[in-house]
Amino acid sequence: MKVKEIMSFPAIAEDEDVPVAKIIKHMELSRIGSVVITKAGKPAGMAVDQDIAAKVILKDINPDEMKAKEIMSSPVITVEADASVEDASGIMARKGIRRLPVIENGELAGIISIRNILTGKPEHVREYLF
Amino acid sequence: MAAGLLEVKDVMTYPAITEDEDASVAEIAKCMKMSGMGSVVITKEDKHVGIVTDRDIVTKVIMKDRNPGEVKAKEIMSSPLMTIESDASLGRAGKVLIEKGIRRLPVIENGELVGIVSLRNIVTREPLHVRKYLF
Repeated sequence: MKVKEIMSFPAIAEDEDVPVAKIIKHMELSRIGSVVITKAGKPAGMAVDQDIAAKVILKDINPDEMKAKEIMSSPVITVEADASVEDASGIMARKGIRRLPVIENGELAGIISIRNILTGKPEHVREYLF
Repeated sequence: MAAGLLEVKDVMTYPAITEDEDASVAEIAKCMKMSGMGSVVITKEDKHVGIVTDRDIVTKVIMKDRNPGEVKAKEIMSSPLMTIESDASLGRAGKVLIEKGIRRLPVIENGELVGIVSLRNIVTREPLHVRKYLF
């Protein structure tokens, strides 16, 4: 099976200079655990729930006053849309991560997560504008 | 509100989904798919003894081409079970999660399992109600 058959799409992306509060809002509304962070339109990192809990909330830092680039995990590890699900699982297992942004023709196309692999099905992510 | 002032029970996901240790991984995976949860607490004679997460199923069963119908929950669960009291502060729960590198902690109130607190709950400060499916 290929990654693109079970990935969640679209991937939600935000610029590296947006406040962490905006990332949290995406996570709440779209019910996702990660947002891809871009610099000049290209994926530069991932902001995941774990980073936000550790680097912002537990330190009582105001999420309006911190930028995505200060808490993102970088460099970003990605996978091609036509890679096999086995390859994607292997990367996640080795790196101890749950999610990989998926690239198709050089563009960000979605996210594949441990959950997608478990359920064997894609999720459609609803993107909210605010 | 600061994380230190909220209690675990204010933001936890409830109820926790449980299955017996002899349930097959296929049944556990079905529970996860239906309820939208990423973990199931495993019981032995109705006492909670471990936890199976989506990652356990993917890395220990699916990636190894084992048959989920033939592997039992107790073979892949993490045990002993690490838990937290429902009136612990959110700050303390977050600290345990980050230090141990885990995403979820079962929540205990008066000795009973009442829910799960996850990194997601800590970030969104939003409790979730889980629909329990019987099948």
